[in-house]
Amino acid sequence: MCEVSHAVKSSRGAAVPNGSGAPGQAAASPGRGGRAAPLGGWVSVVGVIEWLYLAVQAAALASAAWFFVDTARSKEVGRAHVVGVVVLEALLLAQLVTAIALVPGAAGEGKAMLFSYVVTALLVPVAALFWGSIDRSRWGIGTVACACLVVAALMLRVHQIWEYQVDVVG
Amino acid sequence: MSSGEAAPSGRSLAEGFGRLVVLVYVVFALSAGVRAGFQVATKFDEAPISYSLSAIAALIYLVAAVAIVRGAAGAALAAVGVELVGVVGVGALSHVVLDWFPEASVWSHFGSGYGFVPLVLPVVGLVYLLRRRRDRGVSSP
Repeated sequence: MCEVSHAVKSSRGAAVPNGSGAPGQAAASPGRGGRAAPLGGWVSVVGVIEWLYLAVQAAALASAAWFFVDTARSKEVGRAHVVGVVVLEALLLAQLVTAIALVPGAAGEGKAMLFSYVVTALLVPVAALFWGSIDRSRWGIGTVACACLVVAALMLRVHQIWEYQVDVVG
Repeated sequence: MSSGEAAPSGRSLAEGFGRLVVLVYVVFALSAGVRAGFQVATKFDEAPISYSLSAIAALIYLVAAVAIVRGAAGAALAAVGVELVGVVGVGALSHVVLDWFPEASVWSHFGSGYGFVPLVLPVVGLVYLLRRRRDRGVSSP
């Protein structure tokens, strides 16, 4: 989490001196364990958000492609599919944890929207897995594939909110 | 859409490809519904027409989903038909009467805010429902 990252982005941070307690800056509050250190170099926080987004998006799109191929091959929902969904869910959970850690203290708009999107993204694949697995046709796994596309769309919106509305930097 | 491949007449509307259709309708009903509810509750005055239309769209998605799950083919067809008319009508209207849509609605600009899925969805739904009706008509009285 503390990796040194792009110098390009650090220009934005120069305005906010570390630990000076700028209004709305979550980092200022001590006693919230573990958060002071990573926010010392806030640039890495942006990096984490970015990488997590790319990982979730890659997992969602790869799963969708895989499941649609299995739809074409008329496969029923099986154990391997469940593992795929679990991996996607784990990444989404990491996304939610990151949001819980960073968003409530940050400035900006659209926080409720962000959380509703992340939580929806968490629920949709699980619901689709149950809903799809009771189908004996090819469209059982096709439904789960479609759910993965929904996740990708939702994450696109989440990413837009991270970029333009919620100001994690403070 | 695998209507050719063993579409047993006893199969319910929500099985096979219908399962995918239901998932998408439920997702849209929930997301549009929650969003519209939030907008109506907090800032209705900013764009009353947009937000009302979003709420109506959400309701129609819900009706379509429930009708398909319960096997009510007529109601499902009606809901999806209204949905198609709605998205085309509202989409056209939003290009003509800009003042009515200061904020986006689900169906404004033919659902461009939702990747045009709102425009594609009723077409897919209609094709599916009409095929099922045709298959049913052939195999059972």
